[in-house]
Amino acid sequence: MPFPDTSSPDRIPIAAGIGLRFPHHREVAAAPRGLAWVEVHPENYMAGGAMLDRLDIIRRDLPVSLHGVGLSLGSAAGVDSDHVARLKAMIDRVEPGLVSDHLSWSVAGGVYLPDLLPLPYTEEALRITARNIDDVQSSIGRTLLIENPSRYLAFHHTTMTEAEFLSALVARTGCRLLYDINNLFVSARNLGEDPAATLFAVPIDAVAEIHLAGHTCKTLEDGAEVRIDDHGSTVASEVWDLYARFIRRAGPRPTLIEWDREIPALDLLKAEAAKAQRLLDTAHVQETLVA
Amino acid sequence: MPDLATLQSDFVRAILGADRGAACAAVVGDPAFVSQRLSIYRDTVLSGACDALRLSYPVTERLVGTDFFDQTALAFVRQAPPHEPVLARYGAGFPDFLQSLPTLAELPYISDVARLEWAVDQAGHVSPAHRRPGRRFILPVEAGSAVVTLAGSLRLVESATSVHAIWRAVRAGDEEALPSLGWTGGRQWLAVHHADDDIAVTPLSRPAWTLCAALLAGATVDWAIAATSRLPEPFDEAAIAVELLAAPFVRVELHDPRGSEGVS
Repeated sequence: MPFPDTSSPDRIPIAAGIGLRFPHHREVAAAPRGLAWVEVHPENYMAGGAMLDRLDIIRRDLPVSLHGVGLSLGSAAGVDSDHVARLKAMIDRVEPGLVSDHLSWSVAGGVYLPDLLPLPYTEEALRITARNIDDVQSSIGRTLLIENPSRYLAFHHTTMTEAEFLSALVARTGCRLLYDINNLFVSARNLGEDPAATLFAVPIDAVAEIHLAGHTCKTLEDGAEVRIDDHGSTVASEVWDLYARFIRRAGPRPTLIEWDREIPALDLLKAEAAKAQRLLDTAHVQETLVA
Repeated sequence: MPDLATLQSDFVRAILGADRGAACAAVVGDPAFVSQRLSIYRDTVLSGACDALRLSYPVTERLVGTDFFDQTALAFVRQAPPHEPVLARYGAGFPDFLQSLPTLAELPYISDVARLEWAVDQAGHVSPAHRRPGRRFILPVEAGSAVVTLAGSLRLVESATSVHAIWRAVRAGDEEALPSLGWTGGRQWLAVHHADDDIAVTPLSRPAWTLCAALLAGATVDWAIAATSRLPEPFDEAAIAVELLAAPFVRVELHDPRGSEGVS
């Protein structure tokens, strides 16, 4: 059942924003102009402290999206109601334009593993993940965006593609999608698939946000090359190409530049966002001409 | 094929321990190749948890060196992994873990410094702009009553060594001063609390510290005073009151039944 969308009045604009990390807080709070919107990981603020106060200040000037890493929507044991309550408190305080998390799991047996671990795409996993998304959406009173993860392996007992799995989640829960084009590229390369062939396999009307980030290549001991989604560099040219193709056909969407390791000067993030914005502007012009 | 709950349990064992067989069996590919792919997830998990400890214990890391800290943090993560995604709250047991290590037996101040660091770190998570009051109690005074409130950020640390000086020296980048600080002596009773926009560490007398510790633990005022009076130190109620009334983490509101009110 689709959940009624109760997005905050300060919606995320169809423009390029940046992932806001602690080293840039002071600079962004002092001079928010030049940024269309920012996204933060709510778990980084749930312990409280001065950074949460600074986020309040930034929120006065900029639309903010909350992008979770801790809901563990694929956990067989269900979602942690205490964590959902913490997320609800953050939503009430920040009034974000969008709320998202990942198609992954990180909690089992009471242990939290700080990574976005892969799910087998089976009917059982679909049923569990849909139930968990329903639980979260009911508790927070908001529609969730679900992000496709980076994957480094595949399971024998998978019975559907990731795009089929995401489509089914959208149909069953009314959630929407955060389409990470870098993750799509990384997963496809790691699993021997063609990213261009699956670019439009997700329900494109459900895509409410796009993520772009950098990744690295690593050669394993057996000589295999693996792409690691480490968010520590500029966006790869192949990913820019896929992004341009997607928004040309699907239309412009709010787009975010993520950078989590060896965080650079804010100007470099702004330059990456400006690059995305130019492509968004082009897609917007094309969309207007077609209309 | 395993159900989802079993697969996830297998993954936890593969990531935190050495038992990779069950997890590898569920993954497509040659077992050696699969194990390397699993290592990508394992490395992210372990480095993420270790980095969380590094953020909470920077002085401890500088005291023991990065290599030793990394090895110790890794062993701690495997033994006591996080239980929630708010990693800023992860690592309360790290000082006890350090204390249990035979390699650090002759350096007991390391675990005490870590305890002080944890208190400083956790006090920092109390928002300066939304300073919550902590324990509050009412004392009868000569002209009415006094409402005494302890700061919500207040944490108390007891140490057998001079950890305050060590912590300050390392934070200031003055490691050369460490040998002169007398690592084995100087039992200390410390209060950690907000002060302006920073975290302060205030040394207390043992009686004042004991009284605060009892109150923070939820004791009644009478019980806290009784606990303090049992210390070997002379029990000087007036001296304790003067010390605490001057402490920056104590707020006192005097209520005069005739209508006037004051705050210190």
